[in-house]
Amino acid sequence: MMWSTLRDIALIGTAKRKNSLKEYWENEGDVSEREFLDHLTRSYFQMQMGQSLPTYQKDISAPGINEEWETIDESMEAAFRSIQETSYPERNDLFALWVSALYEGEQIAAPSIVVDILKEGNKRNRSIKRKIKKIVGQRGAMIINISRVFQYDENESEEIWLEGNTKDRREYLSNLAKLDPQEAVVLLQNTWHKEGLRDKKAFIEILARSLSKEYEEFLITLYDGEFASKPNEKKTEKECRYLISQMLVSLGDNKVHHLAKYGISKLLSNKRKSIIGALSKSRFQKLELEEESEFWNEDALDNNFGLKSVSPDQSIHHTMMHFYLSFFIENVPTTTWTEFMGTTLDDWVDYILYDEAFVVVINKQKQSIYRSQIVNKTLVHKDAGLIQKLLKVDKSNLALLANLKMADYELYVLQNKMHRSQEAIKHTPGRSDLLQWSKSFSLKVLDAAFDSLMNGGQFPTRSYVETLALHLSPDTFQKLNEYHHRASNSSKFNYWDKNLYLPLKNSLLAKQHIFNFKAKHKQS
Amino acid sequence: MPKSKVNNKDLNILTKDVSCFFIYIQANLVNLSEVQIDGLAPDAASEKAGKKLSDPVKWSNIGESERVIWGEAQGSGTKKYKSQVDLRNLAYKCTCPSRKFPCKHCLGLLYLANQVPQQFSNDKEPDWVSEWMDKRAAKTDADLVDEPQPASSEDQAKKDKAKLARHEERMVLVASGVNELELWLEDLVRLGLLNLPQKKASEFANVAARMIDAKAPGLAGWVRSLANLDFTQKDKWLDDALQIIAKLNLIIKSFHNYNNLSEEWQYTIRTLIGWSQSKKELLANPEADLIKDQWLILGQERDQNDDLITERNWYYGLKTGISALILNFGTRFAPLESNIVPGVISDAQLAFFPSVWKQRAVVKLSNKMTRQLPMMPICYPDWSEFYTYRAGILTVYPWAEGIPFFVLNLTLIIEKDQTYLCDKDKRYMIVDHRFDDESALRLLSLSAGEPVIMGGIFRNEKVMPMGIIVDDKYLLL
Repeated sequence: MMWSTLRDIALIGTAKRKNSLKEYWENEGDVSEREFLDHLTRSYFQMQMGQSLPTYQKDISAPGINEEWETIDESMEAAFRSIQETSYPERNDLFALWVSALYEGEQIAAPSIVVDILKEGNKRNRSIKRKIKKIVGQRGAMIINISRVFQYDENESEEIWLEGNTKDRREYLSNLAKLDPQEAVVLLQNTWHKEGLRDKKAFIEILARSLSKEYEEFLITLYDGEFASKPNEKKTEKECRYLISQMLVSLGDNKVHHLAKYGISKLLSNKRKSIIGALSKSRFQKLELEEESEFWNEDALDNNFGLKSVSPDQSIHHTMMHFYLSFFIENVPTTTWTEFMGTTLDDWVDYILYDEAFVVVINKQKQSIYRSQIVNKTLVHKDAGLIQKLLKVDKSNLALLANLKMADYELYVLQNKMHRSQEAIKHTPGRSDLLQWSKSFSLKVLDAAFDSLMNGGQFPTRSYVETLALHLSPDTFQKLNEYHHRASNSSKFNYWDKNLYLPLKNSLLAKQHIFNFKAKHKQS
Repeated sequence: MPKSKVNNKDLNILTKDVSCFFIYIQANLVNLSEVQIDGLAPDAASEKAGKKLSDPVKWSNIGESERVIWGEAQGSGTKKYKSQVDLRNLAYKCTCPSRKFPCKHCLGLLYLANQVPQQFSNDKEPDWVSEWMDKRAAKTDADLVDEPQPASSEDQAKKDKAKLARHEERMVLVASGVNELELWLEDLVRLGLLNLPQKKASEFANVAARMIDAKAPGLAGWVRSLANLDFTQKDKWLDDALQIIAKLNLIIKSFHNYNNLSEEWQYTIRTLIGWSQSKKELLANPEADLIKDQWLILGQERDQNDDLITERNWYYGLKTGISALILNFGTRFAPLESNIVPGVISDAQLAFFPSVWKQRAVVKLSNKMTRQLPMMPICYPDWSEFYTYRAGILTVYPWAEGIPFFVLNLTLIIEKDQTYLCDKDKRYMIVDHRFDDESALRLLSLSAGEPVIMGGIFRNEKVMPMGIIVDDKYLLL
């Protein structure tokens, strides 16, 4: 009896398939269930013994791996393993650093870690994923094609710009602007005529966040053309003119910047109208907020700088002139101001922040009306002098430290003995670029962290440890281990070990490998 | 390279060289990779905690002799925990109160020895270490050479009589259970399996319980497996049900024929019905089949069923081509003592339980572990050859399941709903669904889609890949 027939009888039951059974059975009488079971058993084992295997019909030949890039050495594999031991959020930064190092060094990952890399990078942004796709090589590409879990199928760069959705395009431009401002402008110029007004404004905002001299020509074209003042212009067009004017005034040495300087010269107390005249004066000249003039009036300022797109704050701006001036204080570089007014940076900041003309009383408290403009100024110009001056007048505003250049930051922190302050350390500059502290500064901070915990009872916050993990020089690894040995007899050892030593050890190890690799690659 | 076929008779003629039990081969300091030590951890938390303890600062008095590593770890109290690991037979001892086995301290010690072996410069065993190790050595020696204390002939006769009486009593009970099961199977096929998916779980549970009452837990397991079929899989559940019924019916038939079978067959049938196999008795049995080989630990699987954890360790003899299954059990109250490291090559002697097809074994003696393959395992050139070998096993033991293999030139094919392993002739086997996607992708990354030498287990018409051989190394998947 065929297996399929037995199967069918077993499914329906021998009681209902008596006729089928008789048809196939050698016995004349009724077939018992006992006999059926024995027959089923024999057939099953016969089938097992004589089973042949199916043949796969499709092509199974391997694509063949022929990588152009070299495979990483053990140290970079060890770096990756160390990164996997670190905690978030520093793990994200270290992984991005590791990926970039391999990408720039044109190296591909060892086959044994390809899946782990793809897992680690699966939730990352497009720019990292694009690099990961390169470093996992052809093996990684095979896995990405097959896997339902890994999402690395983003379009190529040009395709993203031409066909991607709004979010992806903005992310793409933002990354490109940071890496290659000139390329970002070329990209924008190529498709500018096709973009909608809202997108254009968003793109201009992206440029404003990573201001570069490379943008100047493009911005002037927009300022003179598409976003020049015109009757019945849309609000968004006015907003674009405002953003463009801000950038051009900040960049210096262009027609919009000169126009702003001209306006400032009109406010100088000696009433000298020429710039040369103003520059020749060495004594301090205060600003006189005169009545509206040919330059200082709502329409002219709107035509020139798009000022109507923002509104004055009634609580702090006594007059419209105070409001207009806020644009210039924020955007005109500090050096221009000090030269014009014949004063020092310190005096200029004191004047802008504390002169009676620029102070309001709110809740019986005196407040500078231009405080936020001065602080914003540090974001664009990263002027160490200005930041230090602001820190002098407002010690609590440590966030300003993040706007300093690294060398200035280290100097300021050490001079002011702030390396023991977790807050000051947390506001270190260069987070996005993972800038490293110098070895000498790192050693001082590490010593302070150890001493504060062991002797001062100052327990580190998570964000402080994260900052140490990201910015401590990898050359401090040995010192870290020395502290670890010293800590071993302390009652705080467990705390030190869990919260400081292990996170720092793993990140320092990873960075050590990565920086060595980068140095080696640079040499070769 | 065709596999040399070792039949079960060959097992008996293999030498049982007792003298070699006393020759210990010097073990290198922890010849295990970090991944392999990971595999010893009873859970992820222990692994993590063990890694944190792999820090020299946390240890004092660490040392290593040719047989053991030891150290004292600072715990939360004032007293340090004394931890030691027997490197030859992978056994652990620690004075910490943890019920996990091995505890984080023993794991930490292993990780430490793996990472900074130079720290283990002291080779003089402290008293507390040599005491434990000597005790272990004495115990092992006694297990190996001591004949059981001879009982007086009168006592022995009494014991044998009582044993026989217990056996006969059980045989009567089992016979009643077998008859009942036979009737139940007849009812099933009379009414048709179409109703099987609709049957209440309690019906299967009742039949299984009656088999337990009849002291036939093996039969109860087969009944439960019918209840646990995946009835959502159209058509397949019927084939699976028929397979179980056929195998069960063959056990019943064999039991009816019990008195006409050889002693070995009777033992085999008893095991299938559920007579327990005593590890202690096997180790004490001078007649047990012993095989010494370089055993590659092909892989390890763990299943949890209610409170019982079953660990299956698949061994593959590199010299003999014989495979073995070593089972370990754990419960909530008696944690699994994991001392088998998958992926390593263990120079060991295994004792096999009696059976017409010898598969289940215990480690009688192990000397050292290595990571490098000393020789290539015997491999089948393709699936057809393996199938022929499997057919040979089925003629000896029709219930054979879980057959280890090494096959040359296997290519992993991942499709949307199924994964396959194709041989050089494009004959394929379906990969077990328990082989997870991540392992499949790892295999793909290592092989780059090229054919590889793969080891695994054939079970239920599917294959479970366990590792591949690359450059004289066995890489676990």
